[in-house]
Amino acid sequence: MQFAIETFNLTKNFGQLIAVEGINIAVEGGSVFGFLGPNGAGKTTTVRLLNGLLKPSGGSARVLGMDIQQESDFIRAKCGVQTDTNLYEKLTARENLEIWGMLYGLKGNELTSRMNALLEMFGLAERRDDLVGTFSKGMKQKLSIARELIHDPEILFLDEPTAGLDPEAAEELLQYLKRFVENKRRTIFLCSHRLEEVEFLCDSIAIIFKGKILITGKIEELINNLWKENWFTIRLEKISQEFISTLKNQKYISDVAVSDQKIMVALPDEKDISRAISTLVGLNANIFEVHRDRHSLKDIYFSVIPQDKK
Amino acid sequence: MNMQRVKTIIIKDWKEIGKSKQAVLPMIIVPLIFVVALPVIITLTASTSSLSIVTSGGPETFLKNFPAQLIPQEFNERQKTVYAILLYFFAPFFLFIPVMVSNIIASYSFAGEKEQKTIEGLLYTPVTDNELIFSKILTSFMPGVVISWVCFIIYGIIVNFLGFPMFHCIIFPNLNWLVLAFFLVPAISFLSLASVVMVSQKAASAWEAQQVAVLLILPILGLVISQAAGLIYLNASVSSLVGIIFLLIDILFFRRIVRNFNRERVITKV
Repeated sequence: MQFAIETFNLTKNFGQLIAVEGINIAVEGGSVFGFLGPNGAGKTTTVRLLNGLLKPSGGSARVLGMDIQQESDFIRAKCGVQTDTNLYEKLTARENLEIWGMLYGLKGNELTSRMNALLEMFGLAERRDDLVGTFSKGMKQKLSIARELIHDPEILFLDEPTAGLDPEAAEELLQYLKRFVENKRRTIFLCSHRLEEVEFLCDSIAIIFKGKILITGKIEELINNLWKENWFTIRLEKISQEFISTLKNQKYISDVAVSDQKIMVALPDEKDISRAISTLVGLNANIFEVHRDRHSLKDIYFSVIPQDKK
Repeated sequence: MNMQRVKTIIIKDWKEIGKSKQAVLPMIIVPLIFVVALPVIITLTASTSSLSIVTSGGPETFLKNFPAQLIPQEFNERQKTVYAILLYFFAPFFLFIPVMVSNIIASYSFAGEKEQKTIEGLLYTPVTDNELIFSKILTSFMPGVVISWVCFIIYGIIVNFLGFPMFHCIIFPNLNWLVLAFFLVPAISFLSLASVVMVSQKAASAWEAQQVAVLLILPILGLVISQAAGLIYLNASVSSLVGIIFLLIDILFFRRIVRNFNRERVITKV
């Protein structure tokens, strides 16, 4: 399989400081890859390495099949990298887009029509001739993403794309990014702390901590590997000690926990939930609700990041 | 080299700097003083017979030791005095213009872009290292030279227009001013911006980077004082010699800038 991004023991030192240590990640083309980790973990250094802004101290990487050291000019022409504060605030929104388009080789009608479409799409058309310095944080955020989309990049690197956006705008942007990937078969490399949005957008993730990759893979597979058992929560009118001891004696139940009016049961085989319910009904328990406890990306994140960072 | 990208960066920088009052005002006011105020005062006071007011102090010693062969012999004493002041005494003052313009623009273009952290965005685009250096150098070099030339032309028009009733001929430019305009100005303009580029790697702000101008202003002040003291006169040969020295330093600085420039250095020094 041809990966959009592939790293092989990629390492970067700044003197004694090891910013990125032997990382191995593979990002499939046409997917959204979430790159997670606390501040200072090595996310920005990795993006800089992949785009040829920094030279690796060891290992190598390929972006769109090209070596990051030999073909960095080509890679940069095919990628778009949005970072937090790099707009020209003394220029207008239109000028910011125009300059970027021209740097990527666009001109004439093609540039104008792409600029107009992006300004329209991000709701900035009416403010196109206003100085960016007068924009709100959310508007700047939208413009910085629009600017990186002007040349229709094959890989879009995003850094906290919804930071500063109101909930409606954030939702709109996430939906757009999903369409961008699905319709155009583009790839997004998403650095974010917002685990819900990473879970919504991403197929695969990697969690980096102190320069090392702690875990990487498809979210669903990671959950299944980390938590073999299926947890179910049963809410009852009243809990008695008899219910708990009976459930604990069932061989198909591996663990039982209690909280408020709820009993949580761990089942190696999810089909056994009906047996657990039958057992409780047989004990005249009044069951109000049964639901499966799904593990999320948040659980993965906090289970792999060392305790002192939680 | 992709010229569309080079042109885009230059225009972008000019647009940005053009919107900064702190950058634009000195580039207008200082040339106006040298180009308009000084020649008008000299030619008008000369025609109202009060030249001694202007020539007292600095120019007095300057005139006493001034080499006679640099002035057309057919001029009378008053004409000789005004000619020496307009074409020689003021000449080194004009070097402040390219130094200042190139210094201000280079500070905003290099250190300013680092200060605003916009440089990282630019480094992620397909612009190559050479395109970036070339465009940033031209951004500061061209206005330094062009504004100086425009100043020379305006100065020439004023000097010739106001001086015509006294000299009955066109006195500007002489060979010294041509060497100054076409050799010394480009050389010193480049030196000014190259100094800024080199200190920009360590300077935290555009303002800090601008301070390097002192290194160039001091030798020019030295020329002004030397002339005033009658020690040295900025004629065509002296201008050429100074120009050659600046050119050699330019070459050294240029090689150093090209050798030292790389994305990693720019990023990690932000």
